[in-house]
Amino acid sequence: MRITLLIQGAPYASDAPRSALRFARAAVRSGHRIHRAFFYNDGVYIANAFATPPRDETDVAAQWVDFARSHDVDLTVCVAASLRRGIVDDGEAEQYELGGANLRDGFEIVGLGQMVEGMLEGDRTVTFGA
Amino acid sequence: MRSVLYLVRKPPGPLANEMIDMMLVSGVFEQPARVLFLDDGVRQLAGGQDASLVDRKDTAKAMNALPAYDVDELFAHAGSLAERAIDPDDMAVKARIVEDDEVAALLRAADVVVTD
Repeated sequence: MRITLLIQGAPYASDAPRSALRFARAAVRSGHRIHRAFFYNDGVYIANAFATPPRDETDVAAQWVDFARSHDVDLTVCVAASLRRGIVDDGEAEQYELGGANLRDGFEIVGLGQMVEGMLEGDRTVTFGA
Repeated sequence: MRSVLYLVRKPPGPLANEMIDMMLVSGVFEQPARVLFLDDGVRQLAGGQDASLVDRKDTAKAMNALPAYDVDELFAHAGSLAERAIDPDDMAVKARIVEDDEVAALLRAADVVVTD
């Protein structure tokens, strides 16, 4: 089964990205495929490359990137939600004349259309709310 | 095409507007989309609210733009409205009032359910 994930909770204010990752690992172990993970609302904070959690905490963003590379998952964050929260890639940093870009390697900034497309293409969509 | 039910359970606030954006994009993609307001979500429908008093965008106004994007099936759970003393005749957004069994039917009918 092709599964699309919608993750809306922030990495340090909710369990959403961790729960979603545990779900994704379990789904892959059961023979399913995670087609796309779309981060929305405060979920986009996971793509902030400047986030530096203390060493004794797990870095859920790094874990997501590892998982996505191993299992060919599209890691996407919503462009409007990201801009609002200060997550930008090089193109946006230039366009909006910001001090620098901070999109974490492994993530891609996309439009909401990618989420709707994920719903349409996937066999299942699972939401992890805030 | 896979149909989606947006299940709105949270009160008006900044996140509500991002949810509406997603509904609009479903409309643009011509995806069959319905919206069900349940629990505190029905507060988004209540009349007599002035979002500008708290420096917010008017959620009801955005909701009322949905039919222009072919998202025109909005439903509100009767029990949630009653629990919060929201008068169905005084709602800022037009939605069909549904009982518990119709909520179950809406959930079953949708290919995808997206919650806030």
